[in-house]
Amino acid sequence: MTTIDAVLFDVGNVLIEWDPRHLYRSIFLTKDGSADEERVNWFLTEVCTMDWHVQHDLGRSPEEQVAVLIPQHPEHAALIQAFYERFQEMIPGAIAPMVAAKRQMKEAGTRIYGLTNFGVETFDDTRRRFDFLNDFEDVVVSGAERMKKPDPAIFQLCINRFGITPERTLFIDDSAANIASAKALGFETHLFDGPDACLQKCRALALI
Amino acid sequence: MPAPKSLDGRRIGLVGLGRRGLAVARKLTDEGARLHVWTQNTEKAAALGEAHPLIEVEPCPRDVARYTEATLIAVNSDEALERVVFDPEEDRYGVLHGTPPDGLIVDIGETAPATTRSFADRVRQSGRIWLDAPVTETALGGTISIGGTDMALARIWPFLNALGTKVLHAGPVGSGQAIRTCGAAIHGQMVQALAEGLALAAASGVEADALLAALADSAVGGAVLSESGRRMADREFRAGRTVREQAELANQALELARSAGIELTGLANNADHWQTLLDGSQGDLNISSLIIEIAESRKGSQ
Repeated sequence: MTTIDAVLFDVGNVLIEWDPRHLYRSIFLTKDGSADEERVNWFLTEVCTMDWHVQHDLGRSPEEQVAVLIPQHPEHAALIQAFYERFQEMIPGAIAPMVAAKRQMKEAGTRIYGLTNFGVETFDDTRRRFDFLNDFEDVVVSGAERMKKPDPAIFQLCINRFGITPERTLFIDDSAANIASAKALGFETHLFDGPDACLQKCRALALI
Repeated sequence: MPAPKSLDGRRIGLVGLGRRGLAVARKLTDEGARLHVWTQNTEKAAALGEAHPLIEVEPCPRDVARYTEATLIAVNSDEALERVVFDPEEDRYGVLHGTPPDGLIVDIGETAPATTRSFADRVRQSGRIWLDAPVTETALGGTISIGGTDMALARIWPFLNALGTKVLHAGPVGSGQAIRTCGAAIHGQMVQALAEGLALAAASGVEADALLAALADSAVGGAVLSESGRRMADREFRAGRTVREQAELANQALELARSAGIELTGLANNADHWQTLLDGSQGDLNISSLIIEIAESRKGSQ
Protein backbone atom coordinates (compact mmCIF):
# COMPACT_ATOMS: atom_id res chain seq x y z
CA MET A 1 0.00 0.00 0.00
CA THR A 2 1.24 3.48 -0.87
CA THR A 3 1.84 5.81 2.04
CA ILE A 4 -0.58 8.71 2.33
CA ASP A 5 1.27 11.98 2.97
CA ALA A 6 -1.48 14.52 2.33
CA VAL A 7 -5.16 14.89 3.15
CA LEU A 8 -7.58 17.00 1.12
CA PHE A 9 -10.62 18.03 3.16
CA ASP A 10 -14.05 19.11 2.07
CA VAL A 11 -15.31 21.72 4.57
CA GLY A 12 -19.14 21.77 4.74
CA ASN A 13 -20.53 18.73 6.57
CA VAL A 14 -17.06 17.30 7.11
CA LEU A 15 -15.42 19.93 9.36
CA ILE A 16 -18.42 22.15 10.04
CA GLU A 17 -22.13 21.39 9.86
CA TRP A 18 -24.01 23.33 7.22
CA ASP A 19 -27.71 23.26 6.37
CA PRO A 20 -29.94 26.21 5.38
CA ARG A 21 -32.72 24.51 7.35
CA HIS A 22 -31.08 25.57 10.60
CA LEU A 23 -31.74 29.21 9.73
CA TYR A 24 -35.22 28.85 8.24
CA ARG A 25 -36.41 26.65 11.07
CA SER A 26 -35.97 29.66 13.34
CA ILE A 27 -37.91 31.86 10.88
CA PHE A 28 -40.88 29.68 9.84
CA LEU A 29 -42.75 28.81 13.01
CA THR A 30 -46.01 27.02 13.69
CA LYS A 31 -48.56 28.50 16.10
CA ASP A 32 -47.08 26.60 19.03
CA GLY A 33 -43.66 28.11 18.30
CA SER A 34 -41.94 25.02 16.87
CA ALA A 35 -40.31 24.91 13.41
CA ASP A 36 -42.73 24.67 10.49
CA GLU A 37 -40.92 22.01 8.45
CA GLU A 38 -43.46 22.15 5.64
CA ARG A 39 -42.87 25.84 4.97
CA VAL A 40 -39.11 25.42 5.42
CA ASN A 41 -39.12 22.72 2.73
CA TRP A 42 -41.32 24.77 0.44
CA PHE A 43 -39.05 27.81 0.75
CA LEU A 44 -35.86 25.85 0.08
CA THR A 45 -37.32 23.98 -2.91
CA GLU A 46 -39.29 26.85 -4.47
CA VAL A 47 -37.51 30.11 -3.57
CA CYS A 48 -33.95 29.84 -2.26
CA THR A 49 -33.15 26.64 -4.14
CA MET A 50 -29.81 24.83 -4.27
CA ASP A 51 -29.66 25.57 -8.03
CA TRP A 52 -29.71 29.23 -7.12
CA HIS A 53 -27.28 29.04 -4.19
CA VAL A 54 -24.79 27.07 -6.33
CA GLN A 55 -24.24 30.28 -8.33
CA HIS A 56 -22.72 31.77 -5.18
CA ASP A 57 -20.37 28.78 -4.94
CA LEU A 58 -19.46 29.59 -8.55
CA GLY A 59 -18.43 33.14 -7.74
CA ARG A 60 -21.54 35.33 -7.64
CA SER A 61 -21.52 37.72 -4.66
CA PRO A 62 -24.31 37.65 -2.05
CA GLU A 63 -25.50 41.06 -3.28
CA GLU A 64 -25.83 39.85 -6.88
CA GLN A 65 -27.45 36.63 -5.74
CA VAL A 66 -30.14 38.49 -3.84
CA ALA A 67 -30.60 41.06 -6.62
CA VAL A 68 -31.25 38.27 -9.12
CA LEU A 69 -33.78 36.41 -7.00
CA ILE A 70 -35.86 39.15 -5.39
CA PRO A 71 -37.52 40.31 -8.65
CA GLN A 72 -38.79 36.73 -9.11
CA HIS A 73 -40.23 36.61 -5.58
CA PRO A 74 -40.66 40.22 -4.47
CA GLU A 75 -43.08 39.19 -1.72
CA HIS A 76 -40.29 37.14 -0.08
CA ALA A 77 -37.57 39.80 -0.26
CA ALA A 78 -36.81 39.78 3.47
CA LEU A 79 -36.61 35.98 3.60
CA ILE A 80 -34.27 35.93 0.61
CA GLN A 81 -32.05 38.60 2.16
CA ALA A 82 -31.79 36.52 5.31
CA PHE A 83 -30.11 33.71 3.32
CA TYR A 84 -26.75 35.49 3.15
CA GLU A 85 -27.18 38.07 5.92
CA ARG A 86 -27.75 35.30 8.43
CA PHE A 87 -25.63 32.68 6.67
CA GLN A 88 -23.77 31.84 9.89
CA GLU A 89 -27.02 30.56 11.41
CA MET A 90 -26.92 27.74 8.87
CA ILE A 91 -23.77 26.56 10.60
CA PRO A 92 -24.66 25.28 14.06
CA GLY A 93 -21.07 24.40 14.82
CA ALA A 94 -17.93 22.41 14.16
CA ILE A 95 -17.76 18.62 13.77
CA ALA A 96 -15.39 18.32 16.69
CA PRO A 97 -13.95 14.79 16.17
CA MET A 98 -12.96 15.73 12.61
CA VAL A 99 -11.39 19.02 13.69
CA ALA A 100 -9.38 17.12 16.31
CA ALA A 101 -8.29 14.50 13.77
CA LYS A 102 -7.21 17.21 11.33
CA ARG A 103 -5.09 18.84 14.02
CA GLN A 104 -3.57 15.49 14.98
CA MET A 105 -2.65 14.72 11.37
CA LYS A 106 -1.11 18.15 10.93
CA GLU A 107 0.94 17.74 14.08
CA ALA A 108 2.15 14.36 12.84
CA GLY A 109 3.51 16.10 9.74
CA THR A 110 0.81 15.21 7.19
CA ARG A 111 0.12 18.06 4.79
CA ILE A 112 -3.47 19.23 5.13
CA TYR A 113 -5.35 20.96 2.29
CA GLY A 114 -8.91 22.13 1.71
CA LEU A 115 -11.15 21.97 -1.35
CA THR A 116 -14.55 23.49 -0.78
CA ASN A 117 -17.63 24.49 -2.73
CA PHE A 118 -18.14 27.77 -0.97
CA GLY A 119 -18.67 31.39 -1.97
CA VAL A 120 -15.75 33.74 -1.39
CA GLU A 121 -17.53 36.17 0.95
CA THR A 122 -19.29 33.54 3.03
CA PHE A 123 -16.10 31.48 3.33
CA ASP A 124 -14.17 34.55 4.52
CA ASP A 125 -16.77 35.07 7.24
CA THR A 126 -16.77 31.41 8.22
CA ARG A 127 -12.98 31.39 8.52
CA ARG A 128 -13.11 34.27 10.93
CA ARG A 129 -15.54 32.31 13.07
CA PHE A 130 -13.74 28.95 12.94
CA ASP A 131 -10.00 29.36 13.44
CA PHE A 132 -9.24 25.79 12.37
CA LEU A 133 -10.16 26.79 8.80
CA ASN A 134 -7.09 29.03 8.76
CA ASP A 135 -4.40 26.41 9.17
CA PHE A 136 -4.65 24.54 5.88
CA GLU A 137 -1.37 24.52 3.95
CA ASP A 138 -3.59 25.92 1.21
CA VAL A 139 -7.25 25.87 0.27
CA VAL A 140 -9.12 26.06 -3.02
CA VAL A 141 -12.48 27.81 -2.78
CA SER A 142 -14.87 27.20 -5.68
CA GLY A 143 -16.18 30.78 -5.67
CA ALA A 144 -12.70 32.18 -6.29
CA GLU A 145 -12.01 29.73 -9.15
CA ARG A 146 -15.47 29.99 -10.76
CA MET A 147 -15.70 26.23 -10.95
CA LYS A 148 -16.74 23.67 -8.41
CA LYS A 149 -16.65 20.02 -7.44
CA PRO A 150 -17.28 17.54 -9.02
CA ASP A 151 -15.71 19.23 -12.07
CA PRO A 152 -12.44 17.30 -12.58
CA ALA A 153 -10.78 20.60 -13.49
CA ILE A 154 -10.94 21.85 -9.90
CA PHE A 155 -9.27 18.65 -8.67
CA GLN A 156 -6.60 19.11 -11.33
CA LEU A 157 -6.13 22.67 -10.08
CA CYS A 158 -5.51 21.30 -6.57
CA ILE A 159 -2.99 18.78 -7.88
CA ASN A 160 -1.06 21.48 -9.73
CA ARG A 161 -1.29 24.22 -7.15
CA PHE A 162 -0.62 22.13 -4.07
CA GLY A 163 1.90 19.82 -5.74
CA ILE A 164 0.14 16.75 -4.37
CA THR A 165 0.17 13.25 -5.85
CA PRO A 166 -3.40 11.87 -6.03
CA GLU A 167 -2.29 8.34 -5.17
CA ARG A 168 -0.69 9.62 -1.96
CA THR A 169 -3.57 11.95 -1.02
CA LEU A 170 -6.71 11.06 0.92
CA PHE A 171 -9.75 13.07 -0.21
CA ILE A 172 -12.61 13.26 2.30
CA ASP A 173 -16.02 14.55 1.13
CA ASP A 174 -19.68 13.88 1.89
CA SER A 175 -20.81 13.92 -1.77
CA ALA A 176 -20.70 10.70 -3.80
CA ALA A 177 -20.35 12.67 -7.05
CA ASN A 178 -17.27 14.49 -5.72
CA ILE A 179 -15.77 11.24 -4.51
CA ALA A 180 -16.32 9.64 -7.94
CA SER A 181 -14.51 12.53 -9.66
CA ALA A 182 -11.58 12.31 -7.28
CA LYS A 183 -11.35 8.54 -7.59
CA ALA A 184 -11.20 8.78 -11.39
CA LEU A 185 -8.13 11.01 -11.00
CA GLY A 186 -6.45 8.46 -8.76
CA PHE A 187 -7.11 9.93 -5.30
CA GLU A 188 -7.49 7.72 -2.27
CA THR A 189 -11.02 8.63 -1.12
CA HIS A 190 -13.42 8.43 1.76
CA LEU A 191 -17.13 9.18 1.39
CA PHE A 192 -17.89 10.94 4.66
CA ASP A 193 -20.89 9.63 6.54
CA GLY A 194 -20.13 10.57 10.12
CA PRO A 195 -16.85 10.82 12.04
CA ASP A 196 -16.65 7.20 13.28
CA ALA A 197 -16.11 5.51 9.92
CA CYS A 198 -13.88 8.36 8.77
CA LEU A 199 -11.61 8.13 11.80
CA GLN A 200 -11.44 4.38 11.30
CA LYS A 201 -10.26 4.93 7.72
CA CYS A 202 -7.67 7.47 8.91
CA ARG A 203 -6.38 4.97 11.46
CA ALA A 204 -6.19 2.23 8.84
CA LEU A 205 -4.07 4.58 6.71
CA ALA A 206 -1.88 5.33 9.78
CA LEU A 207 -2.79 9.04 9.60
CA ILE A 208 -3.87 9.22 13.24
CA MET B 1 -25.68 53.54 -5.42
CA PRO B 2 -23.55 53.32 -2.28
CA ALA B 3 -21.84 50.00 -1.62
CA PRO B 4 -23.94 47.68 0.56
CA LYS B 5 -22.74 47.31 4.14
CA SER B 6 -22.74 44.14 6.17
CA LEU B 7 -25.38 45.31 8.68
CA ASP B 8 -27.64 47.41 6.44
CA GLY B 9 -31.15 47.48 7.83
CA ARG B 10 -30.46 45.30 10.87
CA ARG B 11 -31.56 46.45 14.31
CA ILE B 12 -29.51 45.97 17.43
CA GLY B 13 -29.93 47.21 20.99
CA LEU B 14 -27.11 48.81 22.98
CA VAL B 15 -27.20 49.67 26.66
CA GLY B 16 -24.41 51.86 28.01
CA LEU B 17 -22.61 54.63 26.13
CA GLY B 18 -19.34 54.92 27.98
CA ARG B 19 -16.05 54.65 26.12
CA ARG B 20 -16.77 51.03 25.18
CA GLY B 21 -20.40 51.65 24.23
CA LEU B 22 -19.54 54.63 22.04
CA ALA B 23 -16.79 52.76 20.22
CA VAL B 24 -19.20 49.88 19.60
CA ALA B 25 -21.94 52.25 18.41
CA ARG B 26 -19.55 53.85 15.95
CA LYS B 27 -18.43 50.54 14.44
CA LEU B 28 -21.96 49.15 14.15
CA THR B 29 -23.44 52.26 12.54
CA ASP B 30 -20.45 52.43 10.16
CA GLU B 31 -21.65 49.03 8.93
CA GLY B 32 -25.19 50.33 8.48
CA ALA B 33 -26.86 48.87 11.60
CA ARG B 34 -29.77 50.73 13.19
CA LEU B 35 -29.17 51.17 16.91
CA HIS B 36 -31.68 51.44 19.72
CA VAL B 37 -29.80 52.77 22.72
CA TRP B 38 -30.25 53.60 26.37
CA THR B 39 -27.79 55.05 28.82
CA GLN B 40 -28.06 56.47 32.30
CA ASN B 41 -26.92 59.86 31.09
CA THR B 42 -30.00 60.89 29.09
CA GLU B 43 -28.51 64.15 27.82
CA LYS B 44 -25.56 62.33 26.33
CA ALA B 45 -27.86 59.80 24.68
CA ALA B 46 -30.16 62.48 23.31
CA ALA B 47 -27.22 64.37 21.80
CA LEU B 48 -25.98 61.21 20.12
CA GLY B 49 -29.44 60.34 18.82
CA GLU B 50 -29.85 63.81 17.33
CA ALA B 51 -26.44 63.67 15.73
CA HIS B 52 -26.84 60.25 14.13
CA PRO B 53 -29.71 59.21 11.83
CA LEU B 54 -29.18 55.50 12.58
CA ILE B 55 -29.39 55.90 16.36
CA GLU B 56 -32.67 55.98 18.24
CA VAL B 57 -32.72 56.73 21.97
CA GLU B 58 -35.14 54.71 24.12
CA PRO B 59 -36.63 55.76 27.46
CA CYS B 60 -35.62 52.58 29.31
CA PRO B 61 -33.50 49.43 28.84
CA ARG B 62 -36.58 47.30 28.23
CA ASP B 63 -37.47 49.26 25.11
CA VAL B 64 -34.00 48.79 23.66
CA ALA B 65 -34.69 45.06 23.50
CA ARG B 66 -38.18 45.25 22.05
CA TYR B 67 -37.62 45.70 18.34
CA THR B 68 -34.05 44.47 17.95
CA GLU B 69 -32.35 41.17 17.08
CA ALA B 70 -30.29 41.25 20.27
CA THR B 71 -29.18 43.62 23.01
CA LEU B 72 -25.53 44.34 23.70
CA ILE B 73 -24.79 45.56 27.21
CA ALA B 74 -21.73 47.71 27.84
CA VAL B 75 -21.91 48.93 31.42
CA ASN B 76 -19.03 49.36 33.83
CA SER B 77 -19.81 47.15 36.81
CA ASP B 78 -21.48 43.89 37.73
CA GLU B 79 -24.00 45.87 39.81
CA ALA B 80 -24.94 48.13 36.90
CA LEU B 81 -25.28 45.06 34.68
CA GLU B 82 -27.70 43.47 37.12
CA ARG B 83 -29.79 46.65 37.26
CA VAL B 84 -30.09 47.21 33.52
CA VAL B 85 -30.98 43.57 32.85
CA PHE B 86 -33.26 42.66 35.72
CA ASP B 87 -34.62 45.91 37.17
CA PRO B 88 -38.35 45.58 37.82
CA GLU B 89 -38.93 49.27 38.68
CA GLU B 90 -41.96 50.95 37.14
CA ASP B 91 -39.91 53.74 35.53
CA ARG B 92 -37.04 51.62 34.43
CA TYR B 93 -37.70 48.05 33.43
CA GLY B 94 -34.61 45.97 32.64
CA VAL B 95 -33.64 44.56 29.25
CA LEU B 96 -35.00 41.13 30.17
CA HIS B 97 -38.55 42.50 30.29
CA GLY B 98 -38.41 43.61 26.65
CA THR B 99 -36.53 40.63 25.23
CA PRO B 100 -38.79 38.21 23.31
CA PRO B 101 -38.66 34.46 24.02
CA ASP B 102 -35.39 32.99 22.68
CA GLY B 103 -34.09 36.56 22.35
CA LEU B 104 -30.40 37.31 22.85
CA ILE B 105 -28.75 39.36 25.60
CA VAL B 106 -25.02 39.84 25.17
CA ASP B 107 -22.69 40.90 27.99
CA ILE B 108 -19.93 42.84 26.22
CA GLY B 109 -18.54 44.48 29.38
CA GLU B 110 -15.79 43.24 31.70
CA THR B 111 -17.93 41.21 34.07
CA ALA B 112 -16.64 38.68 36.60
CA PRO B 113 -17.00 35.19 35.06
CA ALA B 114 -19.11 33.94 37.99
CA THR B 115 -21.46 36.92 37.66
CA THR B 116 -22.02 36.48 33.95
CA ARG B 117 -22.71 32.75 34.54
CA SER B 118 -25.24 33.43 37.27
CA PHE B 119 -27.03 36.07 35.16
CA ALA B 120 -27.05 33.60 32.26
CA ASP B 121 -28.86 31.10 34.49
CA ARG B 122 -31.46 33.63 35.54
CA VAL B 123 -32.04 34.68 31.94
CA ARG B 124 -32.29 31.05 30.81
CA GLN B 125 -34.98 30.43 33.40
CA SER B 126 -37.02 33.13 31.64
CA GLY B 127 -36.51 31.43 28.26
CA ARG B 128 -34.02 34.00 26.95
CA ILE B 129 -30.44 33.41 25.82
CA TRP B 130 -27.25 34.93 27.27
CA LEU B 131 -23.83 35.25 25.70
CA ASP B 132 -20.67 36.79 27.10
CA ALA B 133 -18.40 38.53 24.63
CA PRO B 134 -16.13 41.04 26.37
CA VAL B 135 -15.27 43.83 23.95
CA THR B 136 -12.10 45.15 25.53
CA GLU B 137 -9.90 47.75 23.92
CA THR B 138 -7.71 45.02 22.44
CA ALA B 139 -10.73 42.94 21.35
CA LEU B 140 -12.11 45.92 19.41
CA GLY B 141 -10.43 45.41 16.06
CA GLY B 142 -8.74 42.25 17.38
CA THR B 143 -10.02 38.90 18.63
CA ILE B 144 -13.35 38.65 20.46
CA SER B 145 -13.89 35.48 22.52
CA ILE B 146 -17.45 34.34 23.08
CA GLY B 147 -19.04 32.15 25.73
CA GLY B 148 -22.41 30.56 24.95
CA THR B 149 -23.98 28.08 22.58
CA ASP B 150 -22.86 27.76 18.98
CA MET B 151 -26.31 28.64 17.62
CA ALA B 152 -26.57 31.77 19.75
CA LEU B 153 -23.14 32.80 18.53
CA ALA B 154 -24.21 32.23 14.92
CA ARG B 155 -27.08 34.67 15.45
CA ILE B 156 -25.00 37.47 16.94
CA TRP B 157 -22.01 36.74 14.72
CA PRO B 158 -22.49 39.41 12.03
CA PHE B 159 -22.58 42.13 14.69
CA LEU B 160 -19.54 40.90 16.60
CA ASN B 161 -17.74 40.37 13.31
CA ALA B 162 -18.16 44.08 12.63
CA LEU B 163 -16.42 44.81 15.96
CA GLY B 164 -13.42 42.47 15.83
CA THR B 165 -11.26 40.91 13.13
CA LYS B 166 -11.75 37.45 14.66
CA VAL B 167 -14.75 36.16 16.56
CA LEU B 168 -13.95 32.90 18.32
CA HIS B 169 -16.28 30.53 20.12
CA ALA B 170 -14.43 29.95 23.39
CA GLY B 171 -16.86 27.52 25.05
CA PRO B 172 -19.97 27.57 27.22
CA VAL B 173 -21.33 30.74 28.80
CA GLY B 174 -18.71 32.49 30.97
CA SER B 175 -15.82 31.38 28.75
CA GLY B 176 -15.38 34.79 27.13
CA GLN B 177 -15.07 36.52 30.50
CA ALA B 178 -12.84 33.73 31.83
CA ILE B 179 -10.45 34.14 28.90
CA ARG B 180 -10.37 37.89 29.42
CA THR B 181 -9.60 37.33 33.11
CA CYS B 182 -6.83 34.80 32.39
CA GLY B 183 -5.36 37.20 29.84
CA ALA B 184 -5.33 40.01 32.38
CA ALA B 185 -3.71 37.74 35.00
CA ILE B 186 -0.96 36.78 32.55
CA HIS B 187 -0.45 40.38 31.45
CA GLY B 188 -0.13 41.62 35.05
CA GLN B 189 2.51 39.04 35.85
CA MET B 190 4.38 39.75 32.61
CA VAL B 191 4.59 43.39 33.64
CA GLN B 192 5.91 42.35 37.05
CA ALA B 193 8.45 39.98 35.49
CA LEU B 194 9.58 42.77 33.21
CA ALA B 195 9.89 45.26 36.09
CA GLU B 196 11.96 42.76 38.07
CA GLY B 197 14.13 42.03 35.04
CA LEU B 198 14.80 45.74 34.53
CA ALA B 199 15.54 46.17 38.24
CA LEU B 200 17.94 43.22 38.13
CA ALA B 201 19.63 44.67 35.04
CA ALA B 202 20.01 48.07 36.72
CA ALA B 203 21.44 46.45 39.88
CA SER B 204 23.93 44.63 37.64
CA GLY B 205 25.03 47.84 35.98
CA VAL B 206 23.09 47.31 32.73
CA GLU B 207 21.15 50.19 31.13
CA ALA B 208 17.43 49.62 30.55
CA ASP B 209 17.83 50.54 26.86
CA ALA B 210 20.54 47.94 26.37
CA LEU B 211 18.36 45.24 27.92
CA LEU B 212 15.28 46.17 25.86
CA ALA B 213 17.25 46.30 22.61
CA ALA B 214 18.90 42.96 23.32
CA LEU B 215 15.65 41.18 24.16
CA ALA B 216 13.42 42.67 21.45
CA ASP B 217 13.90 39.71 19.09
CA SER B 218 14.25 37.05 21.77
CA ALA B 219 11.68 34.61 23.13
CA VAL B 220 10.56 37.19 25.70
CA GLY B 221 10.13 39.98 23.11
CA GLY B 222 6.69 41.22 22.15
CA ALA B 223 4.13 43.89 22.87
CA VAL B 224 4.56 43.84 26.68
CA LEU B 225 8.34 44.15 26.47
CA SER B 226 8.24 46.90 23.86
CA GLU B 227 5.36 48.94 25.31
CA SER B 228 5.72 48.49 29.08
CA GLY B 229 9.51 48.16 28.87
CA ARG B 230 9.71 51.50 27.05
CA ARG B 231 7.46 53.13 29.64
CA MET B 232 9.54 51.72 32.50
CA ALA B 233 12.79 52.87 30.94
CA ASP B 234 11.39 56.39 30.34
CA ARG B 235 9.35 56.54 33.57
CA GLU B 236 6.35 57.53 31.39
CA PHE B 237 3.20 56.41 33.21
CA ARG B 238 0.35 58.37 31.62
CA ALA B 239 -2.51 56.69 29.68
CA GLY B 240 -3.06 53.03 28.90
CA ARG B 241 -4.24 50.50 31.48
CA THR B 242 -4.12 51.90 35.00
CA VAL B 243 -3.03 50.30 38.25
CA ARG B 244 -6.60 50.67 39.51
CA GLU B 245 -7.95 48.69 36.55
CA GLN B 246 -5.26 46.04 36.90
CA ALA B 247 -5.92 45.68 40.66
CA GLU B 248 -9.58 45.00 39.88
CA LEU B 249 -8.66 42.53 37.11
CA ALA B 250 -6.20 40.71 39.40
CA ASN B 251 -8.93 40.40 42.03
CA GLN B 252 -11.31 38.96 39.42
CA ALA B 253 -8.61 36.44 38.51
CA LEU B 254 -8.02 35.52 42.16
CA GLU B 255 -11.74 35.04 42.61
CA LEU B 256 -11.87 32.83 39.51
CA ALA B 257 -8.97 30.74 40.88
CA ARG B 258 -10.64 30.45 44.29
CA SER B 259 -13.94 29.27 42.81
CA ALA B 260 -12.07 26.81 40.59
CA GLY B 261 -10.26 25.51 43.70
CA ILE B 262 -6.71 26.24 42.57
CA GLU B 263 -3.99 28.21 44.32
CA LEU B 264 -1.79 30.43 42.18
CA THR B 265 1.08 31.94 44.15
CA GLY B 266 2.41 34.14 41.34
CA LEU B 267 -1.01 35.67 40.81
CA ALA B 268 -1.52 36.23 44.55
CA ASN B 269 1.84 37.98 44.86
CA ASN B 270 1.10 40.04 41.75
CA ALA B 271 -2.31 41.10 43.09
CA ASP B 272 -0.62 42.25 46.33
CA HIS B 273 1.64 44.54 44.31
CA TRP B 274 -1.28 46.27 42.58
CA GLN B 275 -3.02 46.70 45.91
CA THR B 276 0.13 48.22 47.42
CA LEU B 277 0.39 50.70 44.55
CA LEU B 278 -3.30 51.51 44.84
CA ASP B 279 -2.92 52.19 48.57
CA GLY B 280 0.11 54.35 47.75
CA SER B 281 -2.11 56.57 45.53
CA GLN B 282 -0.59 55.30 42.30
CA GLY B 283 -4.01 54.09 41.13
CA ASP B 284 -4.30 56.38 38.14
CA LEU B 285 -0.85 55.72 36.76
CA ASN B 286 -0.13 53.19 34.04
CA ILE B 287 0.60 49.63 35.25
CA SER B 288 4.21 50.04 34.13
CA SER B 289 4.67 52.27 37.19
CA LEU B 290 5.18 49.02 39.10
CA ILE B 291 8.85 49.58 38.24
CA ILE B 292 8.97 52.38 40.83
CA GLU B 293 7.97 50.09 43.69
CA ILE B 294 10.24 47.29 42.55
CA ALA B 295 13.24 49.56 42.04
CA GLU B 296 12.62 51.20 45.43
CA SER B 297 12.38 47.83 47.21
CA ARG B 298 15.87 47.09 45.96
CA LYS B 299 17.19 50.28 47.50
CA GLY B 300 15.27 49.62 50.70
CA SER B 301 16.87 46.26 51.24
CA GLN B 302 20.41 47.52 50.77
